[in-house]
Amino acid sequence: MPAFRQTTIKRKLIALIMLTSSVALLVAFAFMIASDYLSFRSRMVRDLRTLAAVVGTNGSSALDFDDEEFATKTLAALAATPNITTAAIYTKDGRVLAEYLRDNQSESPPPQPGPERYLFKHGYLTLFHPILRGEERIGSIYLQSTLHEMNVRLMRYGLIGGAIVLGASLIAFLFSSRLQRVISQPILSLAHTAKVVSEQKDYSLRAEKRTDDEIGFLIDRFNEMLAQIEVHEKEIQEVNEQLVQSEQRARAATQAKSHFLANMSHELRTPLNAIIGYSEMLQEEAQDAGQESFIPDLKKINRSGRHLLELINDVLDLSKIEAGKMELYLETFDISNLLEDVSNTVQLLVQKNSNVLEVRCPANLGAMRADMTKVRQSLFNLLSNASKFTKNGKINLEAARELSPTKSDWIVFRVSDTGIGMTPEQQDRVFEAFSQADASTARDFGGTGLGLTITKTFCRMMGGDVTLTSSPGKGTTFIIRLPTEVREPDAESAAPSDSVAARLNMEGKPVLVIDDDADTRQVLKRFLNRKGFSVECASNGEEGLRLAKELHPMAIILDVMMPGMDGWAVLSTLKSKPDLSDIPVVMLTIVDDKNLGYTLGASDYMIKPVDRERLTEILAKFRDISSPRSALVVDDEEADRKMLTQILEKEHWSVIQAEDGVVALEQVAKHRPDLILLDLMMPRMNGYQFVTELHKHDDWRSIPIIVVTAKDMSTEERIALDGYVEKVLPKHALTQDSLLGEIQDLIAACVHAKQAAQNKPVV
Amino acid sequence: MRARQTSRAKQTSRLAGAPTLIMAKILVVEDNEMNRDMLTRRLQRRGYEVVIAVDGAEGLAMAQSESPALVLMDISLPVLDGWEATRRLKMAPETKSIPVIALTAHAMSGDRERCIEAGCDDFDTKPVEIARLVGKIEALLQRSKMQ
Repeated sequence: MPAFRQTTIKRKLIALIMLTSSVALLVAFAFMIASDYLSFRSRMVRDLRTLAAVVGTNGSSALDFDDEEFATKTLAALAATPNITTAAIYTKDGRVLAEYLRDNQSESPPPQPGPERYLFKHGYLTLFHPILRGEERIGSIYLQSTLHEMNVRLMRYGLIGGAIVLGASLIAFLFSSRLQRVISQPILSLAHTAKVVSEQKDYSLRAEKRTDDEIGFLIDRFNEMLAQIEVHEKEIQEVNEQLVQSEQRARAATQAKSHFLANMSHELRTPLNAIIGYSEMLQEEAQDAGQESFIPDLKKINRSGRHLLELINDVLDLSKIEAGKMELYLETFDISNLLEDVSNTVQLLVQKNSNVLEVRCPANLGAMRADMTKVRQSLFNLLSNASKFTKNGKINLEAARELSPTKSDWIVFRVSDTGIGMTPEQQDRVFEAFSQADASTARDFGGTGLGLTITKTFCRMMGGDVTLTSSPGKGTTFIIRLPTEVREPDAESAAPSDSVAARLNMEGKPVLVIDDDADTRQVLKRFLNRKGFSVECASNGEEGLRLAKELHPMAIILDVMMPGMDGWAVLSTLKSKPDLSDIPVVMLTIVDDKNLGYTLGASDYMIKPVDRERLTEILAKFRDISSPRSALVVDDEEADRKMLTQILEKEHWSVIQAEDGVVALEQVAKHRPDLILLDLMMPRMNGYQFVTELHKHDDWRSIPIIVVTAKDMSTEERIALDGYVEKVLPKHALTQDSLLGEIQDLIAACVHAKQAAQNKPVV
Repeated sequence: MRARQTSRAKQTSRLAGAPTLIMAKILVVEDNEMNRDMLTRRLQRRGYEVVIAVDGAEGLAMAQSESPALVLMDISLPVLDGWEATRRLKMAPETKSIPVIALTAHAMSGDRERCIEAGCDDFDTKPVEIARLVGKIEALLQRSKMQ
């Protein structure tokens, strides 16, 4: 039964129909056979009786004379009826007068006549029948008939019946197979629609209604449901879109705010520098001039200036955090050195409220890998906090390694004081931005109230956290827990130049850097990315060989001193493999053993620290550029033209210069450049006219153009250029460095786009 | 790396009042007039000879013509910013060996990285704490004297 429940509705319907029809047929057929059997039986009895009466009448005269011979002759006439196997005539006193046996197998008649009746037994019908003369019984006759005829008939009936049932079942199957669709098809199509809807999340689909029965009703309800979902979905989508938009607006607003704050902070810091610096200088000069009385006031100016600076720095940090621009710079450093450094810096603050600072640090604490500036700033924040809120007390700074058997170790910094402490409510809010425990605390104790927020963010950025325990009046303990080895944040926060590099990846083979020092790898990667190389890194020799095989890099930069397999081993392995030996290897190491390097097959040998220019030159040699890239610089200012040319030539472009649009068009006609850097304000033919002219030629339309202009462009002017140029860079607002970066990024993007879609115009 | 510098700074800061190389010539590249004035006067007080440049390009030119013992390079400069000026300074064979201390407005981790990348030998933050800065100057002067 469970199997039946699991089978498809189609099969169920077929089975039901066939079962019903077969059962009906079988029952009808059984009745037919039964009635036929009964009527046949009674006919046989009747026939046998008639036969017995006829034979009896014939044999009565033989009985009269007790003539055995005549009786036997009479019985012999039974040979004409083939189903009679045995017959006998008994005298009145029960003696067998004559008997008839059809053949050898026929059994003998019973010696005594039995009761006068018929009997079906053992496949025979037997009959004792009286032989009468008038009313007088003068003897009896015994007949035995086989049931063979009936059996044959029954068998034939069975066969015919079976055939009929079979045929009928077949027809029933054929009919039911077709007819079941009436019911199963709409259900199946409904199920299919439901499946498609749930798979494609397309709620605009509707199930097709074909009938007006219960299934039609079900389909109607289903469609109504879909319609409702569709409406909901649309609403949700609209709300989502609104959410996304408002989120973007909010993010843009935050960024604008952060940007503004960053700019403001910078603007504020410049005059502040003067205040701090000059007040310090005046202190020195006052001392020299013997004007000691000025010194306390100058100190006040200086201190206030520094305090203001601290506030600005905190605000800037916070704005960077909010803008998501805070990055981690990981390095390995000695923890006890850091503690000593921090405690020295904070000493003055500690002493101000007559506090004592005690630093406890186990001798074998060792090193950790984290952003040292941020760890230092975090500790400093906690210590200066403790100093502010403690008077005549003790401040403890402790560090310890917390071993974890499963995960990596933690470094725990503990800053505790014997100060005023915090209530639980204050503890709840203490890490929120702009929320000092009490509005009055800011007045009494100073500070922005941002220090702890910043500390918490820093700790979390490094995969740790800061927590606290405190009781009012007794003191506070802050605990910073950081992983011993802080890991790089995910690539999603990678700099935009990396994404350009990623695009460049497709352009050429990468450079493989094999070095065990993470800092070297990172610095090289960033630097080479900026130069338009894609870079893959390996931290040891084995990994390096594996990547070399996998990537077949354009070149390998190889360190010598590495744990495990050293650079020499890597180099000789590389050169011994036929498929890898053609990759140029640049040794970059502190070990000065050029001869060994060249003997083993290195293409070049460089000694750390890296000479970046030379490295670029060496790699540029290996770079497989099919044709040198050419650029046209169009600018009427000679100085600007020169500067742009220099930048491009540094990147191995061949550069043609033009001082206005007319000359530029002539140059383009002579040699089609791969890139145009265009000024807008020029005599004879300006940038707009040039772009328009350029676009009249099909062949020139796809040349990427970067506008570099000193002009403040109006919206209309921007729209006029929209679609014609890749990017507009303002000359004045950019420093040389950022201009270079922008141009490099754009060049990388343009070159890639151009290669991806050879003759398609770049939009 | 930093830790070592700081401890060196500590050692030499005791000598801040009495520079070991009297009359060492320092090139100050700074566009802000007041900052320039302060730095110049405070360095001169301590016995250094100070030459000044007001932008990156002038800084480069002065580094060539004056061959100073050390360059104090502001980072946000007009014409040619401090990063690029340092990069070019370190590219030219005649000025390559002059130690450069970058002065940034606010110590951000990114700044330090860029500093190393540009080829600066050390960096300090503004406002300048004169004792600390002199410590760094002396350390670098000692080092280039040794070489």
